[in-house]
Amino acid sequence: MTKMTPPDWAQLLARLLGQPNHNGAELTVTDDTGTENFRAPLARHYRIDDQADQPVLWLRPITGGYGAADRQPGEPERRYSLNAMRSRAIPAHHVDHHPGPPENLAFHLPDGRHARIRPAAADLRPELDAWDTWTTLILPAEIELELDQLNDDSWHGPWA
Amino acid sequence: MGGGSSKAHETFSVNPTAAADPDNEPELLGLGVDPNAKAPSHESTDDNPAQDDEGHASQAASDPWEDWKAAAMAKVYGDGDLPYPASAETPTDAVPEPAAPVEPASDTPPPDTGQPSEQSPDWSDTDIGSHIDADAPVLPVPHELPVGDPCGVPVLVGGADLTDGTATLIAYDTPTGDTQEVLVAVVDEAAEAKLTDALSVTGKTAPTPVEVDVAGRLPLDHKHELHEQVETIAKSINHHLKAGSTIPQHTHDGHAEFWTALGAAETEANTSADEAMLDHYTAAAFTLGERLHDGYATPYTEGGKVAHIGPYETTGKATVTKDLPVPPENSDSLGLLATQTRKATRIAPTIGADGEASWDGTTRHKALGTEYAVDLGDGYAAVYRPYGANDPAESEYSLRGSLEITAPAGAGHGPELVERLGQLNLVNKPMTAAEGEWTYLQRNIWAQNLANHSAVAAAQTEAAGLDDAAEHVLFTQRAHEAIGLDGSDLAVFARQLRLDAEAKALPDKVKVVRDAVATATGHPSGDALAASTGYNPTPRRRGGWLTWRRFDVDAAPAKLQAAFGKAGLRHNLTGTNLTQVLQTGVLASTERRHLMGVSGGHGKSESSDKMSGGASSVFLRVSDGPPSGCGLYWDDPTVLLSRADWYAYPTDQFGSLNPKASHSLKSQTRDPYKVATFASGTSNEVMVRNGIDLLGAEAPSRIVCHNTGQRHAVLDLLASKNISHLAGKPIDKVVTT
Repeated sequence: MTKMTPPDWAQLLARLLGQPNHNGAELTVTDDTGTENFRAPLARHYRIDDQADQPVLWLRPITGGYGAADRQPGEPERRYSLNAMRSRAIPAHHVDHHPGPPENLAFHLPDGRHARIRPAAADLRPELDAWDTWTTLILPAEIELELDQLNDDSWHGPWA
Repeated sequence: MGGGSSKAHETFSVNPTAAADPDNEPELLGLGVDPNAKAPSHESTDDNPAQDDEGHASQAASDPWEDWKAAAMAKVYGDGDLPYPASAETPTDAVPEPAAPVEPASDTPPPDTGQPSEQSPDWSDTDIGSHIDADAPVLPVPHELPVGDPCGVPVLVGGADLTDGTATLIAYDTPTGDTQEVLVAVVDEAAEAKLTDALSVTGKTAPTPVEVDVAGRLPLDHKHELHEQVETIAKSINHHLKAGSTIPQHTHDGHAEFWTALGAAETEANTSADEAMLDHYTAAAFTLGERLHDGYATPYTEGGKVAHIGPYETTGKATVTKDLPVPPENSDSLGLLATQTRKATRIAPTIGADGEASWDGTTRHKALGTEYAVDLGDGYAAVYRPYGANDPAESEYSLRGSLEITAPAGAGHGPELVERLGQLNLVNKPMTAAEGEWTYLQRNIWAQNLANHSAVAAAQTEAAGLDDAAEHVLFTQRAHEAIGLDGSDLAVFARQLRLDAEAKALPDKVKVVRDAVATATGHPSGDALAASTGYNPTPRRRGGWLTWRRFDVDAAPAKLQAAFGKAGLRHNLTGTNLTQVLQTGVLASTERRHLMGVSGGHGKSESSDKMSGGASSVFLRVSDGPPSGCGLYWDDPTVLLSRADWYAYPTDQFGSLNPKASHSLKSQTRDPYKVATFASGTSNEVMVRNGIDLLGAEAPSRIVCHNTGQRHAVLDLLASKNISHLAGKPIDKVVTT
């Protein structure tokens, strides 16, 4: 385990998040007893805010997917509610690198919990692929670029 | 009977007769009230005492309820003087004495700072109701509703059955030009037992053949994986076009392989559907190839992005077997309502470009959970999602307890919709001013974290017993009305008796709890609390909901502002979203937007917010400055923190209210002074229930736009809504870049 500074772990994070047609990353959050509180694949973008007293990492867990009950022929099987997938933040003042396997980044949270970013397990790959389809092929380009800003506390309109 | 009676809600299976059996009279707490005595006449006075049928004067001119109350209060307060007269009057006309300031509630007793009283907040915004007449409705139920207003009209319902005592009446436009009116509310979990008592619930289903439309890809497509190849190539192209990076060679190679696969498939095609499929994918190959050519320069946002190339599918009919609910058994003899148990749904309104909400009265979206569909008769129907049947770990937490009542098509059903709550054993009368204070106190108990204070806990327990006592007294007075009633009529009589008892007991419950809250917050008495600066049980209308204020914040807003210093509250938005939010005028929660028809997420969303309860709130963050991009900013946090319906975390938690959700509730706070210590720019969260009215008293002090062009568009939008000022400032000072 190695404690890392923002420029170092940002490169590793980008590698873990990957790009469409390849595996990506998942986020897990465990409490101080080791119990997993949260787990989800991650959208392939991130933002580091170092303007505050302590750096903050902004991410987007993929949690807003749903089966399209009224799907018409040719439409995707899975849709996403962007309002259910607003940007989320992880304090990044203490980041450890674990070479693994699997290689991962661990973030120490103020309330004693830990957030971990690691390669997405096989069970999450279908969700990641469906999200890639949604963002790269369905969303208008303008909305896709706004998503990449990771600066949204809510979404409105037809893609909400 | 029904779904299981609670001890507090007994039903009657024996028809009471005029000759009561003294061995089986209901216990009246040993007050010495003769249950066989006739109820005192409403015309009885000291000069004209009531007489029984034989001309004898009645025992006494006293009211048995007042007698009981006196005895009950003695139980609560011991042998000392009561804190108020034993009457039903609320001290609404008390002239407030300058009260000592009260520190914000916390787990430790508040100290007396000896500081002079704070300036009273400005109550000149949209007040609802009046303290002049304690028995008048706080908010009369309107007959006419604004058709197409997505926010609806909030109404206050008496009793304690609905969360915040609030329901919302919404009048949707319909595709045929008619009106579809709906009442929506959240039932308090404590009231669920009596609601289900009114229902004949069946969970029986039977396998039933159903013909459905089925869409699918052709075998040739599957064999050569044509769609898989198209999608892989398109994703790579779009990824690299967006990034401005070179499209890798393997993507070019994949495109060439795709042409090869198309050729192979063409030799095997032998139906017209195969030919149509090949035409579809051939066009896709050309679209992709265009972007693989050297020198392709169309910008990504100006047509460069490859649009979705979906799979070529054909449709057909298929018969499948589904488990469908069987019709409920006839339960008319018990007066119960026919009810169907089914998978949860939501109404599916839409909102047009003009901002008007529309619903056809039947279309619904799927949701995660279980609901009861209830026929109320006369074209009215209810849908209820019970707490008991929806495990928080497996259903949408935000949906639990939610209730809809739909009216027959047409306008003018507002009062009837409220009236129909009575069929579900829920209080169905507009809330009186006296009753409004009960909700105000309950919200402040929650907001100020007073529930575990010993005085408050004891008072809540005692208040719960007042309903039972009132029911006993009313039964004594009205038992003769039940003579001759049959089973279903008797059940109706019993239900109405209970509803009336709860309404009768509420003003006295208010007094008990208010006195305890006064003790918990350092006030000498309940009267002193009611007269103190900041205490105002009148709700405010915000959008389609009502909000209640915290008296601790309202007593000392300047002190809280000082604690925040230069920090305020922020909500980030994208440029596109900013305009859309201002068009509706409200920043609404996910659940509220479903009702307004502006929500996405149709279908069975597994959203973490819906499972955790965060979907009922909007998210803000403490920040020492407005958003760097677009968004909303409140320089004065007390504008929103004076509400009694927010909670906060110092770090990102998804706003969890679900005790079974994966997120910890340990760090949740409702102490505004703790929120003031949240570090700016971090992942803190402040969750405000239902939403925020952006164009009224809760307006942000700054609206930050993407650029000058958007600023002009926003100013024009506000002008079109006749908005010239926000947060007390001209809009050209509020809307910035």
